[in-house]
Amino acid sequence: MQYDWTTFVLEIINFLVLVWLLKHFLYRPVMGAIARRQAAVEQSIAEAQTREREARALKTQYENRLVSWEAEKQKAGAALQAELEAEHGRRVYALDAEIQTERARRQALAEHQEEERRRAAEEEAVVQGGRFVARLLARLASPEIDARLADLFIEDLQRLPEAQRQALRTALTEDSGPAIRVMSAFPLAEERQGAIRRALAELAGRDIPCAFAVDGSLLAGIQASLGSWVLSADLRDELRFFTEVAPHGSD
Amino acid sequence: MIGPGLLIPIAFRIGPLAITQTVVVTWLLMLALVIFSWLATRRLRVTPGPLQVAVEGAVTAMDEAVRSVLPEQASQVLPFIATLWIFITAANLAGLIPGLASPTADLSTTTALAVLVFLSVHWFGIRSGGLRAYLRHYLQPSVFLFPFQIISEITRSVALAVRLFGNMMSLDMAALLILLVAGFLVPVPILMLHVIEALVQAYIFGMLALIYIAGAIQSRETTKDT
Repeated sequence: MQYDWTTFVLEIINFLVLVWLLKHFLYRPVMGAIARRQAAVEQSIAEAQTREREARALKTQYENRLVSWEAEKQKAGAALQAELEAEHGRRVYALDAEIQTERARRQALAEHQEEERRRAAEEEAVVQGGRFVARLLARLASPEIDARLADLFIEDLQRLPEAQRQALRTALTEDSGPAIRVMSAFPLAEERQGAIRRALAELAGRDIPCAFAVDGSLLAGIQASLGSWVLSADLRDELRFFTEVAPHGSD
Repeated sequence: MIGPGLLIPIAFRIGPLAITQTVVVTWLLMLALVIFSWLATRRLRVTPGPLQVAVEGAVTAMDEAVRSVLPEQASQVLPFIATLWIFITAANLAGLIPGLASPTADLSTTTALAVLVFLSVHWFGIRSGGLRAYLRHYLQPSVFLFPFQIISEITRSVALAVRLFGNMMSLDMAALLILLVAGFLVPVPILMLHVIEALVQAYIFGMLALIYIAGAIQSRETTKDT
């Protein structure tokens, strides 16, 4: 077994140098890299935690927004519902008013139509009545009725209002010649013709020549033409008046 | 180069200094370790590659081993202990390379390492608590134990040197004898045993050094408590 002091000393120096070299080229760089990685990992963890906090904050913010939006939606829904109900009420009211108006219009129209029907029925009844009466009077017409109507004619002349009497008198004065033409349905007796002549003379205030004629279309009665005036007391004119004028006169 | 044996041949001389093969192999190992370290740590990145992972794993494992014993002084002690592990492992395994001899099969090398451990124990002990406090722990628990403390310090350092030297020298000798007697490829199992023994002896040497240093640092704390 050999022991060399030079080797001993050099090995001590070699080892110390090796310690320095490895510390410089191995331990320090490796530990530094590990420390940098650790720092990077810690930084990544810190960033991840920061992002997580931010994400949580965003989540909370969005949840609050959702809640707010939900409340706004509820509020808008309620407002829309109220508006719809109000609009529904307005439209129902307007429709009801329109229905009432239409109903009143239809009722008025129905009443008017009913009135028209009633009037038409009345007119038809009057026409039918006139025809019936005309047929009846045509069958009943006779010289007696004719004489009676002549008497009524004379009475009516005597009871004419003063204004008409004056107007007739003026018309008879302006006319010249035989202006009075008296027509009857049946031939008049002499005394009755004389009475008529006297009544007319009294009306005119002077004697006026009268021409008597027979017209069977009168059915019964007298018709006197005094110029532009026509005085009648016959059944034909009475029936015409009844059928044409009476229905309108009832309004 | 040389084969295993009790005589260490001289490689060359520098004036009166005789440079043995052990020193030359040590220089080669140092050069290889430094080049490897430089290459491995030249481009360290946050996302490591396979080589970086291996290097970081080895350094981290050694740091954790030191930190488990000395949590507070780990950064101070790590370079010395880790270098012991790395150098002794490399020196032990160098004997497997044909033409090279393990520097740790030379008693001069193991003695130098043991002396360094001996000195580092006192250095870290004094640095930790001061000279007076450190010296006082030799008188604990009784002043009558002081000679035994001194004997213990010397014998454990001698044991460190002789244990490593004896194991590595005997392995080299055994492999050589088997090769001479049995022939080619027969010493392969012995060489595999050499690998295991190289790792175990390096671990034992470094761990004992760590424990001695930790004992020196913790003895100061014990002295303070008393």
